[in-house]
Amino acid sequence: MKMTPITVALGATLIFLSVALANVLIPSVVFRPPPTPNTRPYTAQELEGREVYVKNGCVYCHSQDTRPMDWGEGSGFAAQPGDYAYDSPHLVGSARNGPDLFREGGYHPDDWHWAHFENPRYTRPQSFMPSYSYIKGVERRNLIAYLQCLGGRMGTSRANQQRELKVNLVKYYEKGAGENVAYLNSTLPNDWLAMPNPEPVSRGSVERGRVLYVAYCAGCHGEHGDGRGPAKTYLNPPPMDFTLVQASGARPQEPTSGYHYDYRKNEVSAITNGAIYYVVLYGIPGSAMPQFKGQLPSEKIWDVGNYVGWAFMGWKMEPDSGRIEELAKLNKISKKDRKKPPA
Amino acid sequence: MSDTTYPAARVSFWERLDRPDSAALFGLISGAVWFAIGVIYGLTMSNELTTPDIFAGIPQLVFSRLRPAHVNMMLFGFLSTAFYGAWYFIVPRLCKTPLRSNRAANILLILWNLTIAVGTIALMNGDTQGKEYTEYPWYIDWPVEILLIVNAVIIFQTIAARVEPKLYVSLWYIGGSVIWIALMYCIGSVMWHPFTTYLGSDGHTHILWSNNASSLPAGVSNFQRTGAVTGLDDAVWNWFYGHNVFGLYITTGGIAITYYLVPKLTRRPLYSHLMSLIGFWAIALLYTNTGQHHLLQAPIPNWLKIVSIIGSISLFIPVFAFSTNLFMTMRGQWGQMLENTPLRFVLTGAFFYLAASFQGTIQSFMAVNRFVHFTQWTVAHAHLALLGAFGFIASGATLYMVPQIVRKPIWSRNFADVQYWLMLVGINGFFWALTAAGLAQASAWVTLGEQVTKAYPVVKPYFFLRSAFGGMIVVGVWMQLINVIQTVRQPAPRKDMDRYLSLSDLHEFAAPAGILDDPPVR
Ligand code: HEC
Ligand code: HEC
Ligand code: HEM
Repeated sequence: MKMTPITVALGATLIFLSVALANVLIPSVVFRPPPTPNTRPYTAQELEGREVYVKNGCVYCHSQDTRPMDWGEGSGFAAQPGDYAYDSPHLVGSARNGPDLFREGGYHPDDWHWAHFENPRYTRPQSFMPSYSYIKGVERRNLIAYLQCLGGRMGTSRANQQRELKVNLVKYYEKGAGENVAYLNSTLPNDWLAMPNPEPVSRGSVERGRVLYVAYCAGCHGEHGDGRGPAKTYLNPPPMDFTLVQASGARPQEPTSGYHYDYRKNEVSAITNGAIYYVVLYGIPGSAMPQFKGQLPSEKIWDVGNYVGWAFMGWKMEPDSGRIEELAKLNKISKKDRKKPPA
Repeated sequence: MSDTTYPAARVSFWERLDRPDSAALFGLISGAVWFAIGVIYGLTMSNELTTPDIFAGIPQLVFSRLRPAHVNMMLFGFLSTAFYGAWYFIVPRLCKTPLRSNRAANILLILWNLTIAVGTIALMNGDTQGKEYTEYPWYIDWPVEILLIVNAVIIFQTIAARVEPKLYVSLWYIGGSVIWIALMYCIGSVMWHPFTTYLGSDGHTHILWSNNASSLPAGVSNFQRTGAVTGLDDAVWNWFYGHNVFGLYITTGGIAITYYLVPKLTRRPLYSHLMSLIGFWAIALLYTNTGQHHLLQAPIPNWLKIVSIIGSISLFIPVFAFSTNLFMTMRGQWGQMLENTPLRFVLTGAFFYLAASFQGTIQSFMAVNRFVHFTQWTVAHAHLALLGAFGFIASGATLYMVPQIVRKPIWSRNFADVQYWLMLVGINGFFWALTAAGLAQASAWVTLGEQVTKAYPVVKPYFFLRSAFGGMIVVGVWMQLINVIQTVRQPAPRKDMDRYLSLSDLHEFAAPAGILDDPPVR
């Protein structure tokens, strides 16, 4: 074949254009999926938030494309073509350095997002998402409005549910720690409050729990369990101050059927081990307390609960190993760790 | 620039732009400078992933704004200018006629560099179209598109004026590349839609003049942002371009340089004309089809996915045609790789190209793609192809061509060798670290069904490794910049220069048609 400039130029152009016709022009004519019933147009505020999302390149770490196999992401609804009907530009994304955000709406309440953008390490100490503290005021509010509408109508209704639940949580928080815990306990299933702890409060468990606490909880609940982590400023209700929930040393995991806690009668650690388990597993909807369902396996949740109870709420450690030297050493450690922060 | 035929004092600015090969030199040096800046961006981002708060609160330096700046700088700053420089060097030599014209090419490069600099600042300020590889805002898109067209005109004018009747394979690829990029850039950036528009409550389409969306009234619909269409279709447009910009611009441009440099440096004729023919037409026909393999995990129509998978698999035809052709040219000559540094760069690049394409074919299988998609594996692949293959080829071209143009020996051969090894070890470590990170993420998500958030303590160590190996690459790239600048700044050429030039005798070369000579000086 003799190659001339004409052959090259014409051949290259024609091939390219015909493939472009097949690969983009034809799809843009025949591929016009109607919006799915779950999809609604964005409001002006959400569009403004989307603009912030685009400008700050969130798409480089967050996809918006749930697949049927992405068990942990979104609410288990795989993305449909019609879900994108109002998107311009598309934000499908090609990397998941962070979680998929296609069903993000209502996964966290607004104040969680507020603290998270200030610095993601506040709410998730291990995160490597950049701090977006420079997105301030109206811009951040718009961005959060956009995130809360992801997931279409379902996402919006989840977000609204969070807002409704928050009203009560704030009310009881303001009534003081005792009533707050009583209210929170009243929202938990009774069986769970009385759930016996399969994992004794042993030294090993507490040590493992400490690592987990620092990695997952300290940003909100504070290193000393006093609820004064850096995220506190942004959260309402603020994170639980465990040190207020004082304990008399009674074993909280004794099964009591039909458990009902009344803080006026009882000075025991009001938060039972079963309650911690449940709350860590599912979060407290309406408050910033997130769910750790997909992140912490069952044993780890018991461990972190044991640490919280032992370090901040006065639970007794169980001498499980029977080795005296270890216990002696432990005594030293626990004394140091138990020093209470100033009231 | 040392051309001693011009007494320095009387040279006007325009005359300087007319000097033979001045545009080539300009392009190659710009490429080296962009390369050196771009890797700093990369290293900064890498460190931000391990220590996220180093630049906390500075909008211009946040990871997600540096990323588009880095990617586009590498693509349109480094690789583009280096390739233009190399093309301006190759085309006149293969056509045996001066570039038409050096002045136009120089002006083009000045404007191009300005555009990319402004574009980078725009991206760091958050002024972006938000789609991968087409991030430049419309006021950058238009200059880029115009300059791309001018570039095509320069190349084709030179080819049309050629003295050598035969069209060497490099020229096909260069001609193809300049046409394809001009065509696809305007498709990818949806350039006919430069403004953000919406349908107001009055039923008319309005332009959103202010870039600040807070001027949006309530009740808008049909929102269409600058440089985008609406709906999932936008992703299809995006990735049609997003793949072709590599396949039909960077790949073909780099192949052109390889096809020129390998026979030239080894003084061996190209193995097979037929194979180059097959490779060229197959790449044109197949690469164009593969864009949608980036969307295999998104709900685009299945037929599009199938077309792209078939395209991706059949890509082994041009890839193997090219590689075989090249390696057969090298047969019996491999020892030269040890002595000749530019050749070593180019051939290593060719190997990486083969590896990246092989990997690409594998990861476009549905079963593999659902596993590795969204993970760092993709980032490893992208760097293997762009840095490993075409970064190396561009470096080789720079290290060979700059001394040729200024007619001075390379300033330090040791520098070039150390640079080679730093970059080689760097890209290998980088690649394997990210591949391992990607596999760790993939097995956590897909095999164990874990949440994305659970896997990041696992990938952190790999991010540290990436920073370490990235640091080696940065050092190598800066050594290249120093080497190039020092080469140009050296005192006037020495008599015994030929001894130092990587290839001394340009005329002795017996190419298939003896076409690889210097252009006649005007
Ligand atoms: C460097 C990559 C990176 C960038 C850029 C990034 N994120 Fe993240 N993002 C993460 C990581 C990692 C997590 C998980 C840890 C955490 O919650 O911080 C995350 C978590 C999130 C979450 C919580 C998801 C959930 O379901 O718990 C939201 C919401 C979020 N990011 C929004 C954003 C927005 C909005 C932007 C852009 C302004 C952005 N991210 C930019 C990495 C990133
Ligand atoms: C993003 C911040 C945040 C993080 C991270 C967080 N929490 Fe909380 N947590 C809260 C808030 C806010 C409340 C209080 C809700 C209220 O008062 O209504 C709370 C309440 C609690 C309670 C009290 C529940 C009850 O029934 O009284 C427990 C126990 C608890 N958190 C444990 C943990 C543990 C264990 C972790 C780590 C695995 C953790 N939290 C991580 C914000 C957080
Ligand atoms: C036979 C050749 C190739 C095939 C089949 C191929 C295939 C692919 C596929 C399937 C992906 C998407 C991975 C994913 O996200 O799941 C990808 C990504 C990528 N490829 Fe290739 N590839 C090939 C060669 C190349 C070459 C030569 C280059 C560079 C010039 C290149 C550059 C890239 C880049 C930059 C990405 C990342 C895109 C992103 O940001 O998501 N590829 N490739």
